[in-house]
Amino acid sequence: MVVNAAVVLYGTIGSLLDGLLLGSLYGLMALGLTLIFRVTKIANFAYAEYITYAGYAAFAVSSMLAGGVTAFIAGLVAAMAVGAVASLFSDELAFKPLWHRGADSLTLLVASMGVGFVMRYSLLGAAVFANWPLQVQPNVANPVLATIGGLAYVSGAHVAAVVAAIVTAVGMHILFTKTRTGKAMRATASNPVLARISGINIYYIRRLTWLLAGAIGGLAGFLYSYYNPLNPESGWQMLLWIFAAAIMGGFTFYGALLSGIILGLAEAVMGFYMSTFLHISTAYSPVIALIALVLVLLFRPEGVIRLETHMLRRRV
Amino acid sequence: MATELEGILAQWLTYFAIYGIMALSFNIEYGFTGIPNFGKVLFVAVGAYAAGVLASTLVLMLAAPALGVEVVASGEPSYCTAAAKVVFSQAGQVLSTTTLFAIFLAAVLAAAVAGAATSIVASFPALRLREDFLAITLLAAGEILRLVTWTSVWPVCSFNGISGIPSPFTHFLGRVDVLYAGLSLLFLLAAWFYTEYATNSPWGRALKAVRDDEVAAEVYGYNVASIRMQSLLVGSALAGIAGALLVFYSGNVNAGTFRPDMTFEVIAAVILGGAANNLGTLLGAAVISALLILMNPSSLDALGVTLPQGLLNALPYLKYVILGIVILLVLMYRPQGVIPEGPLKTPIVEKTRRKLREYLARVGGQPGAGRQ
Amino acid sequence: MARILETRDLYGGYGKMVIINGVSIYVDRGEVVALVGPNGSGKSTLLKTIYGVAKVFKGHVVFDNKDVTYVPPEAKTALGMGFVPQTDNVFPDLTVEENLEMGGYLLRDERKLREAMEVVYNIFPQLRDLRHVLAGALSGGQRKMVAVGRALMTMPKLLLMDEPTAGLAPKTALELLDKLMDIKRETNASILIVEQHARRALEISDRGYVLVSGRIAAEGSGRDILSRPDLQELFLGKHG
Repeated sequence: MVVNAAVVLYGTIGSLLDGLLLGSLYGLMALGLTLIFRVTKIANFAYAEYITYAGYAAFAVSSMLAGGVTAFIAGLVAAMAVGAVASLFSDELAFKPLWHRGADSLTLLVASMGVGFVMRYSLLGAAVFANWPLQVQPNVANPVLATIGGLAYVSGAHVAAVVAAIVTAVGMHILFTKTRTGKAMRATASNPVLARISGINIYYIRRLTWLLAGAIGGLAGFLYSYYNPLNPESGWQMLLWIFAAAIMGGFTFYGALLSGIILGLAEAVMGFYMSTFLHISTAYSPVIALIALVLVLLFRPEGVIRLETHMLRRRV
Repeated sequence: MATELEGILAQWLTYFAIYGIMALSFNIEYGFTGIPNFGKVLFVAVGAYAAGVLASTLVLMLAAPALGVEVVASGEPSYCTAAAKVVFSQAGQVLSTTTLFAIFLAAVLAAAVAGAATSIVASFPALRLREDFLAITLLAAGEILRLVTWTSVWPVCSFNGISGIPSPFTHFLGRVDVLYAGLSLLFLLAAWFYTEYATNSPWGRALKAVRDDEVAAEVYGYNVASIRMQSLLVGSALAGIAGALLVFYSGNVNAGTFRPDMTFEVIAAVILGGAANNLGTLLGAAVISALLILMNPSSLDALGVTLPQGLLNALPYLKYVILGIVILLVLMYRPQGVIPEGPLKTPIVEKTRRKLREYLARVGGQPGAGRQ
Repeated sequence: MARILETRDLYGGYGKMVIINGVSIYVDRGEVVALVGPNGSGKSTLLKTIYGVAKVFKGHVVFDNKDVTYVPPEAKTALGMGFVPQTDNVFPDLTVEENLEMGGYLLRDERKLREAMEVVYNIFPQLRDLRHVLAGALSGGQRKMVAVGRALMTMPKLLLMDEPTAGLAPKTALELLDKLMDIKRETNASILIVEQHARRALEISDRGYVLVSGRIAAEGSGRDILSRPDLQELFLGKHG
């Protein structure tokens, strides 16, 4: 196959744009995961399902409307609300009771897998039972804003994803470093008993944390489905990427966003080059993020791009 | 009806054996040593691949010339070709039961060795990371293997997989599935005896010491790193064997089988039965495999249970919903499992020896001599 | 002499373990009361039970004429109580300033918060220079200052202190106790203090209680307890 220079150029631009979009979404999703991990110390495998549920909610609500701005806003609100509620429910029903019993981080991780299983497979089961479409997308158009060379294009989803990710990351950082509530979240994570003694209602803080994290997941789920159709396993299929971004970022908000973007770009751009020049199947490109995750965990478990110290290494 | 029931029973027993071995292996690592090997499916897959590749290569080497089939491969492994499938389907004509059994045993051995060898790679993170991060690492490693082998034609013919690997019971008539269930149960029995013996030995004490307090274990002179590695080595060899048994049960090796869900099924079995308790683990494996078998449209059909079509379609998913609920309920209300961890027992060998002595004493006409 | 705190036949502990067996003590307004006793007698547990951090099995805790037995710790703080635990008494992942801010979480008003912080910085001038340092990175003595400072942020009417000088060098410990007396004079708070260094604690206190095996073995003025020969032998011997 002769590699055409224009194809390479516009293909590169296109994959950069798509990588940026995908990466921003990974980063955005990682923000919610980071929030939960920092406040409750749970490596939450059920988080992916909040994203999926939110995407389905956006689909359900927006398809009842005629489309346009109303459908966009309704879909967004529905997604964030469902994400937040799903998140809060999973804590109230599973994680909080276990935490009260003094469960360790591994038990909570297993429990989150259990919650994820229940959520994911009940959605799958319900979809099959009721004959729902297995691929859903909100009834919102994704306008093409600009095309480059006829191959690469910038769409509404590109802009929305990047803006949402950056705004959320900055917002979370400000919340954690500047506001009373955010500091109370950190205090609750740092020393829950002393937080109570200081007059902080840690249960309120915990609920707020889960609601917020779920809403972030919901936002990400909506934006993702706006760009790419969702199926009941979409969230789960992205979960390890989300973890990769959060862990690479050392569970800091800016770190998570930056890592997400790097992973998205790596996946899209390397995938493009590998298939164009090396004729390696693009099916391998997801492996890039997973290998990055494993390498980071092996050699720098405290994160590559981080703003605060975390003690994740074993003592031995 | 009766034969269908037998079929389900055989299927359940085979699954019980395979999941039982996987669960015992996870129990050694997680229950006794405290290593959450959430990449269990990785080692099962490695074992399955090793067994599948070795068995199919051997069958090709031994049967293709005799059958006069020429297998030409271009870039892909020879056992992935269409000609190879022809050889597999006719291998029974030229290979004796002895040869087929030899191939089976060689494949199982290869699986154990391959599993154990892979564990050396896994021990690298296992010595460095906090539990929950180790779990994520191993889970991701399993996914990498699945995604790569699903796409790459090496080693197991990408998404097509290797199919039609002849069973050691090819020449047997009648209930081959029952025979295979029996064979698998033999392996389970051996694995159970081994783990029961090993975990009740001083080695088992060392594992528990490392699990409960690494610093203290170190102070008492245990080499913590080495013990964690040994635990992974044994666990992974067992997982490899389970993978091999899975291959000869279905005759196929397919990368798509080895999803993280399988690891979760094993975790569920161990947590349900009781971590660090081999008997509990087997109980858990029996329950989970029964759930997997029963929540299946064909099994329900065979049992004469009729359900609405929609529910039947949802059944494969519902079983995982049930699995998830079971896990959550156990973690919340009985975190130690159905049969909790007990104190270390006298090694089973000594126990058997004592029973034997009692028996001999009784037979020898000395009533009560053995009863103390 | 109005009572600020009173426990009536209080039983407390952890899980199913009863450690405090029917303790009745009181603290009057403006009083400094020392709680002394041998190791493992339940001094820390008594404070935790009063504050609601440990479990109450039976009995009553009355604060400011209100029954607060089952009031959660965060609400007790809102009512005007303060607590400096013996261990884990700072937020290690927060800076010194943020620790103080969390101490004043209930103040809400930014201006009041700054004022309270000024008061704490005046008491412990060292903390002003350390305000952007993570509390987890501080030395033992500095950490105690943060711990006490955090509890002072709400200007509690009653301060429970669990061995504020434990683990400090003797000189630092004396300085801290002097500071505590200054604080008491300035804020007119009542103090219930647990001290390992019984003699020193009793010397600065108006009254004292001797706790043995979760029960009050003796009570009286600091001077009285110090002069009782039987108690000297019971637990003061080593420090005497």
